Amino acid sequence: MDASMLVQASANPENLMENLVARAKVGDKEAFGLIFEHHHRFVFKFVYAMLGNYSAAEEMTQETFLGAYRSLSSLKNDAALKTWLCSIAKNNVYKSFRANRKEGKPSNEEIETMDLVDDKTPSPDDRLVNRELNQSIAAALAGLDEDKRAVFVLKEIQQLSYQEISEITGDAVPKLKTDLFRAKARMRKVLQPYLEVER
Amino acid sequence: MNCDNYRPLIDSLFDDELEEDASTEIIQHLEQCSVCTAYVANVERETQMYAHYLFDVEPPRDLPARFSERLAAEDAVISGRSSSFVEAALSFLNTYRLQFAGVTVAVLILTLVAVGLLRGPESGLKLVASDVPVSFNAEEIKVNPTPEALPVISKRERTVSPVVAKVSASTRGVDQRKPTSISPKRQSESPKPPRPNEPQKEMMLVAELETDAARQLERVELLLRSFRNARLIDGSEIFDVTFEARQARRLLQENMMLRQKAEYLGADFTGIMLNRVEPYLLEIANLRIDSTPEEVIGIKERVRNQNIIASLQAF
Repeated sequence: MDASMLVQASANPENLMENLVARAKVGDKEAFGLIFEHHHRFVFKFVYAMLGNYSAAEEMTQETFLGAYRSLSSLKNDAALKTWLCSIAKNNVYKSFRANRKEGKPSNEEIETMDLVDDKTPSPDDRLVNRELNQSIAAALAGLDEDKRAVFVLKEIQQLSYQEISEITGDAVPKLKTDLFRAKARMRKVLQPYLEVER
Repeated sequence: MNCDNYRPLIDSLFDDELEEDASTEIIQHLEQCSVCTAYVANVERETQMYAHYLFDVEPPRDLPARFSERLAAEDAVISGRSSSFVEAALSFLNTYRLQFAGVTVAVLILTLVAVGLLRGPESGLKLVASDVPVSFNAEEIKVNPTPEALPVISKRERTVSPVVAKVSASTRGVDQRKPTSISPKRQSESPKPPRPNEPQKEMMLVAELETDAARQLERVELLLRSFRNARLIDGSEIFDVTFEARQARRLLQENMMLRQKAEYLGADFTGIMLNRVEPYLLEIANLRIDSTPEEVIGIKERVRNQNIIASLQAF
């Protein structure tokens, strides 16, 4: 893939992404490949936080981008690509929850916890603490309902603004604030031991 | 206003969504209220904890490659469907064309016979041999149309549309705005299977670099966000940036390596972005536990004023 040429095509990152979207819209697979490279981690992390399952997140990330490729012409504002991709991912996640419910599975059935800390982390103690903390966060997330989990992940973990989250979920900002407030209260309850450790 | 009323405002303060007047009011309240100060410390720790969750979660490195394969397969299925439609249409047209050719031949024969009968046997033969440059072979008519018969179609065939030219230009590095002309000889050449060569290897290296750089810059973005939100340790004049300093040291090493790789491969834009974040990483990495608030605030202000996080987000 001639990534360097495409990347060098523009000195401005925002224009670059809009340029890639415009090219992808006329069927340029290379341009879409670069869009994937730029955004797949964000989408993957969102899906992973929502599902709590690594391989399912992998599959759903690909599904999200395939869906985006098929319906790229419906993207009105090229600059809002990231939130648009994330809204497709969110719809896929919700669809999977609905399918699970039909089969009688809870939406958090597959929550797993990986060793999220890489080899560069300094001490084994840190690794252990981080792993335990991540397990607890994953478990606490699994206890939230879908809407609250989505707003919590997007705001607290992925640090988007309310405006961006509203574009993704289609919910009004006051509803998002209420959901986030409740989600945080619930998370606080579950994670209280970690919050008190250094007090 | 009692403490319960301040709690939602404190949350908004952490979201950077509070008016300046309200922020000042909260800060004044915090100076007097130890309960709310403790609440702030708790929210701060909580925010850091969530922001660092998934910091090291990464999708598999080969996911872009696997997705490309899947995209190609998807396209093949779509083009397979459309080509079977085209084949069916062509088959229908061929049948119709043969019938049309048969009818034309029959009409011509009848005309010739009629003319021959009118002029007599000798003049009829003379007419066929010299005055009618028409072959009765239906295949010949189909395969070798004269330029006069199909001028518009021939012209279009030799010019690739701007869209197609744009797509092919992206793989060859030619000017994308001008339509590309392809000679009829080149059109008839069958495509050769691609052979791995030096430029292709370099392209693969650049693609790999782009993936690594994008991952690196996303981590830097998260680090800078986390650093921007760092607050004073409860009851002290020191910022708690130990986590950020440690992460910055890790990222700095990786950043320098990637920047050198980008310079070597000529990936200028990626190199510029990596180069742009490096001073921030260096400054944060050099912060000590006893660094003065002014040092931390200075870096925070530079991060804010130079819009580095927005640039990274766009990248």
